[in-house]
Amino acid sequence: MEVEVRGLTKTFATSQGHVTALEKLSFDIRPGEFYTLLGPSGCGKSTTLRCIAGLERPDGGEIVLGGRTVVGPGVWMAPNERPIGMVFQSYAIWPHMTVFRNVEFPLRQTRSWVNKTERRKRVMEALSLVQMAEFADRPAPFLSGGQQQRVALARALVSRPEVLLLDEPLSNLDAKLREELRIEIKELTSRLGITAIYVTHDQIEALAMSDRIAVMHRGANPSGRFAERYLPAAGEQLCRRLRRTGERLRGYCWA
Amino acid sequence: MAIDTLSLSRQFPRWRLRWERLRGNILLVVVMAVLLAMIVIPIGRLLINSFLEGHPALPEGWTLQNYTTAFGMPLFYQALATTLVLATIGTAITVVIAVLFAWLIERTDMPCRNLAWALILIPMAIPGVLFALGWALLLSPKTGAMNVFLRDVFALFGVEITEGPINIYSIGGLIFLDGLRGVTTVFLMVVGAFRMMDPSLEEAARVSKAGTVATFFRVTLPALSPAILAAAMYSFISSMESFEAPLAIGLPANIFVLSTLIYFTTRIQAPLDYGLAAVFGVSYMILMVFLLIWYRRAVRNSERFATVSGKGFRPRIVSIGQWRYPALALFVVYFLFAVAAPFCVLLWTSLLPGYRVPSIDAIRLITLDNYREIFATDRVFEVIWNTLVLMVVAATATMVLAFLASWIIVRAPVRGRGLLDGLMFVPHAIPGIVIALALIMAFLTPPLRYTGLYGTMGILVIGLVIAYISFGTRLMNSAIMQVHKELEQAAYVSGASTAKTLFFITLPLLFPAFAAGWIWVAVHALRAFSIPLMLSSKNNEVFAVLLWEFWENGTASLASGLGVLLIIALIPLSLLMRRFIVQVSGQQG
Repeated sequence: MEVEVRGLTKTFATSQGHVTALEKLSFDIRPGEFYTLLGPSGCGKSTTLRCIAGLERPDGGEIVLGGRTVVGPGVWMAPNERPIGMVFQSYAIWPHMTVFRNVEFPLRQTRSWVNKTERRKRVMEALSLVQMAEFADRPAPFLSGGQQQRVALARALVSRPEVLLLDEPLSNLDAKLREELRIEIKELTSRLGITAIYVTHDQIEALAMSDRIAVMHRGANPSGRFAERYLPAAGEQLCRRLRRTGERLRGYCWA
Repeated sequence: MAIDTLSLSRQFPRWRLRWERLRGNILLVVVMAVLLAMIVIPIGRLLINSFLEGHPALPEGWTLQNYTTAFGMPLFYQALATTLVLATIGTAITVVIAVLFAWLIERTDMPCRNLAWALILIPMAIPGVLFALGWALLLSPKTGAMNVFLRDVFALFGVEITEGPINIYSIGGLIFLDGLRGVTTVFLMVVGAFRMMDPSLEEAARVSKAGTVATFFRVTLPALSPAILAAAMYSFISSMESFEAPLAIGLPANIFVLSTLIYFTTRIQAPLDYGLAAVFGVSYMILMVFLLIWYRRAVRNSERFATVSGKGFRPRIVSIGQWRYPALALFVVYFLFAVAAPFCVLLWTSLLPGYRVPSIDAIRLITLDNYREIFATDRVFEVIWNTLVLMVVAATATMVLAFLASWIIVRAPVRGRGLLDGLMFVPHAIPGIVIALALIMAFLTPPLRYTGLYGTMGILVIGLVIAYISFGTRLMNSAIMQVHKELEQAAYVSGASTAKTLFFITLPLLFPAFAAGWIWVAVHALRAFSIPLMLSSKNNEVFAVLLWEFWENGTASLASGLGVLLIIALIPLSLLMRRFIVQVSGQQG
């Protein structure tokens, strides 16, 4: 599914007044693309992702998912109505449910009723995608961090969303596991042909996984700004630094 | 920046966004409206009625007469003075006893400390009205069991008197009851501080050549003074609101406090005067609001000077040598006065055909007839049913509303949640008797008159919900803050609506806190007295009210029987409640 972001603007009210997190941010993502928002913390990349998910309400601009405007002037679609799946930094696995129940939850929320055997089939499918099928009946608190993240991925994929949003999903894991899951996530999304938007501050991760990278940068202004508009020079500099790290750049640096 | 904001608001019309937000959050809007109505309408009614003449249902026009009458009444000032004197002296006694026992039980080598820890909680299970009735039986001037015993002792020394020597129906008696009554609460509020205090403070005093006593008064007490002061203020506020002992002990002796003055004006005197009662209620409420604001400030300030850290120190046990057994004796005397004596006299009275002074002869008369009589009346089962319904419905309604209110306060993306936070604190400042008075007025007049809830169980439930919602919200606030936001957001992006997320994700995650609050409210509803009594009519009598009715009709043995049953039901429930609450929040029940 194609994702279009047009003139996205978001300000936060703080005790010191308004802080602009995003200002007139625009970009397009092609169907099936693995698109990464890369930048230091506080540059607004998570805010962008949360706007796409519907967890934040932008002050201006519009977001179009597959030709359908989900937020724009006079339009608002709640997160539960959008065709998305999301993986959180903290995994957000519900501790009062088993692995199976966690993954089953999105299927219970759909408008069209999915019957029990169908639900079971699809949950087990999603769990085997992330190699967690044998843990189905385990209570969620008895999982390691890596296992929880796999469950979170299965939960995000089970309702077959068209867009997968990943908010720094690997940053709480140790280095070895991170590498392993990096490859898995990448393979999974290209196999399913799903559009993925990935947020990270880790350059290696971005380079290893993405078809395309958008570099977001914090400018002289304390608020985060998108590289496109304010800082092409800084963006290019960052890309050069990325190349120096020695990893092969898939796609190209978009600045 | 200013230009940007302008152009933005043109892009997304404000009213449109607001409407959409409302439409998406109908649940939240309804909850906020209910809470607002529940608190604002009765208080507003109380204020309005203080300026009206005549019965609330048939007002005869606006007037300031109520205010001039009230403020020209010597009885009003007397009641105010009595309330303040009672609360001040009562609190002083309470704090001295409670701090002494907290230190003895937590920090010294007094024998049987663990047993004492358990026993000191038992007064929680004895409703204030039963405590007062028990002591009325023990110390009424002519027939009180303890007075008879004292007269026999005096007779041995050749002093013959026919009455007294102690009369519970006096201001002294009220102070005595109030002083004993609050010990458990204050003990629980300060005992944690005694446990958590850094022992090196005291060790430093000891190596500086201070003795045990000097260390206690010069170091331990000052270091803990913030905690003690906060507990004392809390106890003072509870004493200001006390109703049960002043009703059972004070009214027969013509001693009024503010709460009983309101009860007297609306339920006993002829003709009843609601306008005057409204003035009393408004004055009482304003006084309590100021006291509570003062308390909140003081507690906040004292937290800044905290000498008690959260570190888990192993408390240093002080050896009190030859004082160990006198200390234990002191505790036994306290327990006798606070629990054993009043309970035993109630039990004794409930086993006899009529009240008699305990004696060997009377033992022959012991019978279970009173209990048989209690269960032979049809009304008893209706009353028990009412009580159970009240417990379950009030607890559920309070906690569900508190949960939703807290969720709005902590999480919801709506404006006005700060206001809601302040609003949920208000009922905490209103004495139960004033809540009841305000509800009577609100449900006798439009718009609430059309609900037809006056004189039903419904109005009782509403009264208790208002009384307990502050506590529930405080408990739920801290519980919701501990639930990670992303757990809820994961549900939204999984396709769940707000209501489904609350029900399937948030509520199960904080179920322990919810259950603890539920039990707390249920226990308090079971022993609630002032609100059910004020609002009682034929169809909504509960256990405590029936008990009071028996007492007023002169059948003390039936009242005692009901009291014994109530205490037996409350003991396990109270202990269960305390365990739950401590587990969840460390807050004191």
